[in-house]
Amino acid sequence: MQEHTEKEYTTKFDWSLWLKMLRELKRHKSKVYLLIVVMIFNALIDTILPLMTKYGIDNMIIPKDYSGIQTFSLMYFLLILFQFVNVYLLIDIAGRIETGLNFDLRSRAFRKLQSMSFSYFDRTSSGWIVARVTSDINRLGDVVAWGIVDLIWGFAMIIFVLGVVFSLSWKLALILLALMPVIAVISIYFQEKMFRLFRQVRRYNSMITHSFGEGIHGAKTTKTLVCEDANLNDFTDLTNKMYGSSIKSAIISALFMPMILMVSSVGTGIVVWIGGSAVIGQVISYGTMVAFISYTMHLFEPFSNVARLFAEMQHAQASAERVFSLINLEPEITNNEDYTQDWQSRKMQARSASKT
Amino acid sequence: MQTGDIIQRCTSDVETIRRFIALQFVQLGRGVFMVLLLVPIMLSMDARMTLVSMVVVPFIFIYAYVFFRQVRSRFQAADEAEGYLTTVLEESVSGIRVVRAFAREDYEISRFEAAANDYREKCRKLITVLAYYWSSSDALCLIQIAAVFIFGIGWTIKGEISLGTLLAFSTYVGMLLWPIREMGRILTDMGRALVSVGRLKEVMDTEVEELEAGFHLPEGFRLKGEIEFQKLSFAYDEAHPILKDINLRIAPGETVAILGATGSGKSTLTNLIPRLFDDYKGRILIDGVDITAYNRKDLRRQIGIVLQEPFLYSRSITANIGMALKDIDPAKVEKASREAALHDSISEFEDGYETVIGERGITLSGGQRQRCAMARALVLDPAILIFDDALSAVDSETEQIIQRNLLSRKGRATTIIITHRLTGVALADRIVVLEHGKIAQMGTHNELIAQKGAYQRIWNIQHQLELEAS
Repeated sequence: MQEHTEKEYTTKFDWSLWLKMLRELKRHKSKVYLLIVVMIFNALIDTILPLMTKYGIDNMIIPKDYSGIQTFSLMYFLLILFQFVNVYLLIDIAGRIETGLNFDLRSRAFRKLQSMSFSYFDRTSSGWIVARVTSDINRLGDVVAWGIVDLIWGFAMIIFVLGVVFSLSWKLALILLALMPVIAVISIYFQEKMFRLFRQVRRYNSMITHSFGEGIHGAKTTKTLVCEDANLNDFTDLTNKMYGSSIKSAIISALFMPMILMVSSVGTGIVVWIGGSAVIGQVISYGTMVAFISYTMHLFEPFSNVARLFAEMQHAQASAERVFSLINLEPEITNNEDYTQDWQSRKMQARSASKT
Repeated sequence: MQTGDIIQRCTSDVETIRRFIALQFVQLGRGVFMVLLLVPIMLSMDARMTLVSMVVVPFIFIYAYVFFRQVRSRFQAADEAEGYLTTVLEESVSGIRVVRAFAREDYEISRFEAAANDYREKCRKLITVLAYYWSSSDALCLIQIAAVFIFGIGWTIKGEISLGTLLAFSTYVGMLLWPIREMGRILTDMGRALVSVGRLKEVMDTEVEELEAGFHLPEGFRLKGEIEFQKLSFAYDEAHPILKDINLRIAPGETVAILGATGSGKSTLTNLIPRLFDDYKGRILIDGVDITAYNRKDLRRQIGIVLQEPFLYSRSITANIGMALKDIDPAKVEKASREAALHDSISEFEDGYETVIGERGITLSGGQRQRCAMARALVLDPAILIFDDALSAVDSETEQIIQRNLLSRKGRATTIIITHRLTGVALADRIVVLEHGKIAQMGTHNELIAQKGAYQRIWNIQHQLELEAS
């Protein structure tokens, strides 16, 4: 049986669409700038924390010098306090951008709907309109606001970590640099696949919800038409598809972290191997090696976040296209204000003409 | 059980349980196993370091548990605000004609923006509280990690633990903290999952309708369509009987109109024929056989019902009309839609009979929906046809066309027409007037018009109205 389905996924990444989306943030410009600053600081502290460990090992444990512990503790505490403020601000500001953008888009879409003619509402189902103004806009707000968080943090983190590791030991830094493309490729491949399957599962889920609604609201009709079996077959087909997609999704998700951990562990092994020799040869300190292990183990996070964001954006493109198609509709009913003014001015002209 | 409630049980409750088993249960297990595995290892390495590593753990767990219990009302408030926003939007879109007719566009915009703003504010408040929680719990976890390292530095310098032990503890504490923070949140959600299991069990335990019992009619067999109600009484609850002692015989091919006020039991009477309800007293016979003896599906295949508010599926028009056919024959579908005076409307659609209707397609008017349901019943060519106020939304001109079409097939099926309007009885061989669940009058139009009673009263009122109108 033929069923109309919404376009859910576009393979090509549409940069112009997202630039258009970013322009929608004009009203929230100051918040966006503040969020960027907060995210840069956030990444900076995430980069500094392993250096604290390095400092403790190299400057206190190895020389057996306990004298600087109070200053060290205070510094550590201040960093935590600063990160507390950062995390609070990032969630709060991103939330404000998300809800603000959602409100703006909703308001514009609703105002546009008020200018459309009856024929528009006859050819467009109310369910389609409601879905655009509610779930599609929610999705866009979420992708844009939290996308800024992931993107800025991810890039800032990669730059800071690279800067630090190269300043500590360029030889060990090359190991990290070699791991980056591998981690990037795995992240992009898996995040895209995971997100595609996740969306597919959600789509089947919403079709199942719709099918439940139809089955329950139309129970009497189904019984009188004796099409229980046909409906059940359709429903079973749908649940089987969802089951298949869910299993695939679970397998891909289950593979991702072990793959990343495997690469990170191989990287850590190489760092310990080469770094260990360097420590023995007193080329680098203990602390440097520990910091390197920490950076290697957490190297995947920025890549994974950015890869997930691009996968999300690619899938949210269909939502963005639909929302813009609604907002950019040509109004079919024009306000009669101009006509009234025109009519009044002509009336005035007629009056003045009659006086002369 | 209300329809909305059943849908919620089958969708939201299933989703809550799915999420719990697929995600939260796994995380919970991860947290428990981390504690069970790591704590003995840590204790075997150094008891004091273990103690320091575990100081924040119970607090972070209790903090997460208490926080998510407290914040539940805020989640609910945001959900409700979103629900209200959707309702306002739906009302405005579906009632756009009324909005325009009363020039209420500005009012609708301000009403929608107020709802959207309320939703924004509720979400903002929720996000602010969540921001506080995630940042403070992050800080607590970082303090714990710092404490392990700072205490560890002292003990390493004193030679009480090795540098390796300190680094191992630094790793273990991170492995313990984050899953435990999640555990607190999951435990608050566990209650919701248990409630959902209970609600779903109620649906699963509901008695199902027996569809396979009774004797089967041979493939392609068509009943004659004689219907007889013998001393039929029915009540949804004992205190309020709907039908009382109905005795009525309808001959094969006869057309009977049933007239009566709302609540007089007209629809209930016809719903009993395809056995939509079984708990009645008395007997219903079709072709002289008690309907309970028939296989329920076979019996229903002999009956075509058109409901006052027909339900159409979100599929193409062809699929809707041919819903009950084993193989959809486009020619049969078109013939039925012509009889139901729907063909011309369908021809105006860009995709014709393949136009998708409902939530995923275009919206049909009330009259079009009724005519589509009528075509769906006619395409089956059943032995018994029931029109339950099936033309209430159709204009008089179209109604006349349909009546003319139906007249041409008169006698082919036993037909029961339920109606409020006297125009609907034009085709009837016999008219039955129901009052308070009882047959008050029965006869032809001429017989009833001559009798004092409900029929004459309704006739006079509607006739008077028509005269005044003309």
